[in-house]
Amino acid sequence: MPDKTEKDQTQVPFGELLRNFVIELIVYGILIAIYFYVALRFLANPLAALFGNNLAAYAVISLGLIVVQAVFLEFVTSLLFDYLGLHRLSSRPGKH
Amino acid sequence: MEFPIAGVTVDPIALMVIGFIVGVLGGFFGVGGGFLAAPFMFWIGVPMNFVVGTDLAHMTGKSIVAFKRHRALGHVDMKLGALMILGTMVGVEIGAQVIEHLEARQSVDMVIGIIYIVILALVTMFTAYEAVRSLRMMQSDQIDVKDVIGFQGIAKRISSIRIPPMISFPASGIKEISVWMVVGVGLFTGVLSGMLGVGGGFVRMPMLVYVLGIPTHVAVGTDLFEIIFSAGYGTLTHAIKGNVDIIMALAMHTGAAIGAQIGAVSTQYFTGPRIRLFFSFLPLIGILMVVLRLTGVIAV
Repeated sequence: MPDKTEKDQTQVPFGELLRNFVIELIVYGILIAIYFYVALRFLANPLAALFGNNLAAYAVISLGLIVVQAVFLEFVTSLLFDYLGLHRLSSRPGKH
Repeated sequence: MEFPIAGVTVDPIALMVIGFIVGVLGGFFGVGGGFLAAPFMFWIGVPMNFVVGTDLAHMTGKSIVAFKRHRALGHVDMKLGALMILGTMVGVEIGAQVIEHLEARQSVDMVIGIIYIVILALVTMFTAYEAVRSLRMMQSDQIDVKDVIGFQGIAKRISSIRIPPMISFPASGIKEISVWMVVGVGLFTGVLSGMLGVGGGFVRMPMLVYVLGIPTHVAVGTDLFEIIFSAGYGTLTHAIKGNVDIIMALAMHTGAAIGAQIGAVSTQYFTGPRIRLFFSFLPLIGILMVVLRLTGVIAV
């Protein structure tokens, strides 16, 4: 039943991780602010019109939009994690 | 900011913060987080009829992000998840039918609320007891492993039931188990979800660990895989009824996406028993929310 952990190969200084994490949050926050005020404001009125006219189409498009955004944001956050070295967290096995 | 679909003005930063908090919880524990998000959404001004549907929509997106990260970490058993979805979907419908039947009688909310509290209290007590026992085992035996389960009696009995067809789940370390046991767990958690509205993850994650014997990290990732489909289905049905503000959900999801990544990556730092110990406190929040709702303090 128990699965053996791998040996901890990568020791990342906590200060560096924290700094990179804060950078990630700032960069992500800026990207999201731009996305929010450009894309979402642009989408709001057409979607509201669709909501009033055709709920079935609105439902399908809503699901599509949230899936597309999820895939896109997963890509962006993963890229930031990797670029800032936060991916090294992933190679550290659970010790606590 | 004005959200024209729901016809209200809500602070988008508040939506993002709520999304971030439930995102971290979802990524770490493999739960949807509806029990926490819904009251807060209502509190910041989201209309009651939009709360559940919008939360489900954001939950779908958040679960995709967390699922992809868990999958990269090897924490998802797709085969197990796909099989459980079948049972869950049937269970949700049965649960909804039971509710419809019960609604003919009075005080259904009180009855369901009490069932919910009892189940969550049992989950809390059992998970905390078992997690502490496992942690003690790991300390006393000096075991350097990622996961130890201190209570394997149920899982052993379940695996000894040999009703064909039998199936193996190599990704979860299960050599052979009856398909019906897996579907049964999905069905049971589905019925509870259908009856109680929320709370699937509360029960499913511990059941995967204690009933099927799945390692905790895999249980978290596989649960998220299942939430993608259950929440996605819920989004569709609620949107058709006009109960989803997708712009609001997209705003919430921008916070949830980063939160889910952080939650999912954080599981690497903790052993299975430690995750289960933290998890054991989570149903207490659910209990508090139900008590507040039953006593009329909050409306959602």
